Amino acid sequence: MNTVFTVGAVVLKEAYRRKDVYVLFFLTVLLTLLAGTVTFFEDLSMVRLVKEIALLLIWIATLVIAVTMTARQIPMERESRTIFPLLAKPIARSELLLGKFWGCWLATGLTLLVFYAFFGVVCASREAEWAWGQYAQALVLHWAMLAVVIAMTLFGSLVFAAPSSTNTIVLVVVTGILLMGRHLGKVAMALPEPQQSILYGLYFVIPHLEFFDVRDLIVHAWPMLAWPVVGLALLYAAAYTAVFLSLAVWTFRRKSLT
Amino acid sequence: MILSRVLLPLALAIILAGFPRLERWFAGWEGNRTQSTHALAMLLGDSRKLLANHLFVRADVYFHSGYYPTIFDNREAYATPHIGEDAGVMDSANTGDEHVFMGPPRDWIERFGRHFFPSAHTHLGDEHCAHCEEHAHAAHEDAHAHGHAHDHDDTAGNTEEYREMLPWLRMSVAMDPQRIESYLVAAYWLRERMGREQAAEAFLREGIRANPNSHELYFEMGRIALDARGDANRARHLYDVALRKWEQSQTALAEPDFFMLAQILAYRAAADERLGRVDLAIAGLEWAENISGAKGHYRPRLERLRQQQSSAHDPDPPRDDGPAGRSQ
Repeated sequence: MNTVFTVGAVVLKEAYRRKDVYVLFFLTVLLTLLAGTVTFFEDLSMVRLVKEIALLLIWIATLVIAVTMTARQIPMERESRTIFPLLAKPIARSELLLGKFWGCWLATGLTLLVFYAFFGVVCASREAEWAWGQYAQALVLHWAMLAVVIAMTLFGSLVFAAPSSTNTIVLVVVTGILLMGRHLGKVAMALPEPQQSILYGLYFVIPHLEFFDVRDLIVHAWPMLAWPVVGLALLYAAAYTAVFLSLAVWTFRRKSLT
Repeated sequence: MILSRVLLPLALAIILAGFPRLERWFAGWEGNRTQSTHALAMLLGDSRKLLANHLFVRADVYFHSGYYPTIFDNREAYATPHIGEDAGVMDSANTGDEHVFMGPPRDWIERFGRHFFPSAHTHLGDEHCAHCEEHAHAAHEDAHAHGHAHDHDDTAGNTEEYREMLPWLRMSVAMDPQRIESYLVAAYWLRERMGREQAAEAFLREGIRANPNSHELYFEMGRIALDARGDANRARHLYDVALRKWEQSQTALAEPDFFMLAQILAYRAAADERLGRVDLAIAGLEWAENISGAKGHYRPRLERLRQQQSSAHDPDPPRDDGPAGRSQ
């Protein structure tokens, strides 16, 4: 386990030496503040639009950070040939992969903390009531969703030829699930057989990442989710993360590194 | 060598000879955007109208606190945005029950997924669906008929929350200044629900500058004069202008906007009533009743006015039933 944490710590350090996290954070801050300065009908107290823009930017930024950071981990080690001295040490391939996952997930978690702290400040500056509990739930669910995405990307980085193709494919799949996942069942019902069964089957197989997207609940000031519901969603995320990590480990064990 | 000596001069000659002709054609072309003074119009062309419509619908999404059908859901109860319907400026094409567009969940994924997005019907300003149990249709006094189970309670909750949908309406107008509904709806919510008649009037004036022939905008200006300012004289004048504009723009059409004509006539009758011109009010309401899609809608008002008219000649008039029955 120590080996996993050590690899993770290296990934974390590497993540914070790069500029992309800071660039995306400042872009989010800038765009949110710009949106916040726009007034409509001389009323500065409108908050939902600013919340929606801020959360959308946070989702885009963290998704991009998680996918691009994860997609380059293994290919970068192979390209710079540092993977060979690394694997010459007493470390299993599965441990290396789990360390990479842990480092990426931790880095995105810390990034999320910064992003949500900023979001909290923006909301606090405009709203009388601070829904910290809701923000905490949103952060936890968002982080759990990113675990699935990171595991999926790690698996993709071992299957696809280059980080660029992994980035593109994973981002398209994740965006597709977020936008369409909820409706696949309904779309399937309108199709003839065998398309119906195929699509309905796919609907049950894909990870429903939209479960973790509670932006509408936050924007429109809905009450907090029940914690058992959040717990079940976390279990769901853990299951899919385990599936993708297992697939990644299985692929990595059989992969030639030369 | 041949390429540079022959083809290049030939290409240049074609360009130079064709340019004046092409330039003249482009200047007269309907799709030419360079003449537009509106930056967005130049940039987006007619697609800004689609975007404006989308932004208008977003305002309705905000009105429902995010509970809104997608293209994959049953949209029968949301065919006409409720913010426009409630404002009395859009004729309703809605049918069915707005509470149940999702239907029962088909599987555990759908059932579980409904925890994570707004899946109960509420309106801005409501205290989380307290009104859902009571279908308060009887309280609805707008001059239009509902063909579906749409409810709201005008007085409940925090009316300040209505401001949250206004940015979308403002952006909708920025995208398409000719989108009349956006002006009307924003003005209605500003005036009627938020008590900001000055902001509503300023917005309508902006709309009139962009659409000087719109009967709808003058109609809404009349509502501000009558309902918010209590200036029946000015309201009467504005309704007259609205009626004139309606006649100018609609009479030649195959399907004139009778819904709006009935609205104008009914409100003009209300102004007449306030000015003590009961005869004119009755005449206006009879006209509205004849053209209205909802037959019998104005009959109670008409009967009351006729009673009022006959009692004016009667030395022993019947007891007045108070102001509750008068309002439009």
